[in-house]
Amino acid sequence: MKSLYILNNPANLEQCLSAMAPDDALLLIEDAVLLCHQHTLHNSYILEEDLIARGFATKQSHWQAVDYPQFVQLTLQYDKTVTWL
Amino acid sequence: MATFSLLVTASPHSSQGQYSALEFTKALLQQGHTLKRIFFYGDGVLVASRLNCPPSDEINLTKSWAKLAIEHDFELTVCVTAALKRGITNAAEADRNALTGDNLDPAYEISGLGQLTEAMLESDRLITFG
Repeated sequence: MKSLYILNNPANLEQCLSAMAPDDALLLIEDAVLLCHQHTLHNSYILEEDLIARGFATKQSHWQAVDYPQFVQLTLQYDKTVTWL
Repeated sequence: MATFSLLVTASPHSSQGQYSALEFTKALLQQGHTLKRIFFYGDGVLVASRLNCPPSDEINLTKSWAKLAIEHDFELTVCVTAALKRGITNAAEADRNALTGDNLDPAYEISGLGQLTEAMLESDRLITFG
C-alpha cells in the first residue's frame, strides 16, 4: 500500500516525513513549495503553478514539477492520499 | 475512469485551498473522471453563502463552484453544524433555529457528516484540501 502525502504548509515537513513509509511519495502545494531546495529520500513532486506563482523557476527545484492534470494522475497511481494539515 | 470526492476545509477568504480544490476539480473532470461530491467542512463552509461578494478582480469561488457543479452534475454539500456555527443557513434551518434570514446559495445543500462517510465509501479517491 503506497500513499501520496500532500503538504501545503512548509512548517509541517518534518512531522509529515516522520509519518511516511519509504515507498510513499510527497507532493508540495501552496506555501509548501517554498521547500523546493530541500532534499528528501522519497519520490517527491511539486505543483508547478504554485512554484512559479512564488517566483521560483522549475529548474531551480530538486522536486519533479507536476501540473494539475498530473496531480490528478498521481492521486490514482497511489493507493490513497493523505493531506498533511 | 475513477470516481472522486473532495473534502474542503480551507477558508475561501484566507487560504489557497479552495482555489487548489477548484483547479484539481477542473483537471479531473477534463480527464473524464467522475466527481460525486464536494463536502465543505470547518471554515470551508463559508464559501456557500450567496452573499459572498468579492471584488471584481478576484475569483468568485461561490459562483465558480456553483457553475461547475451544475455543468457536471455533482453535489456541493455543506456540514450543517459547521455552517450554522458560522451563520450559513438555508430557510429550513433558519426556521428551526429562529433565525431572521437565510443565505445559502441555491447550488449548495446543507447536510450532515453522513454525507462525507458516504462519499468516502462510494468514491475511489477522497482528496482533502485544507
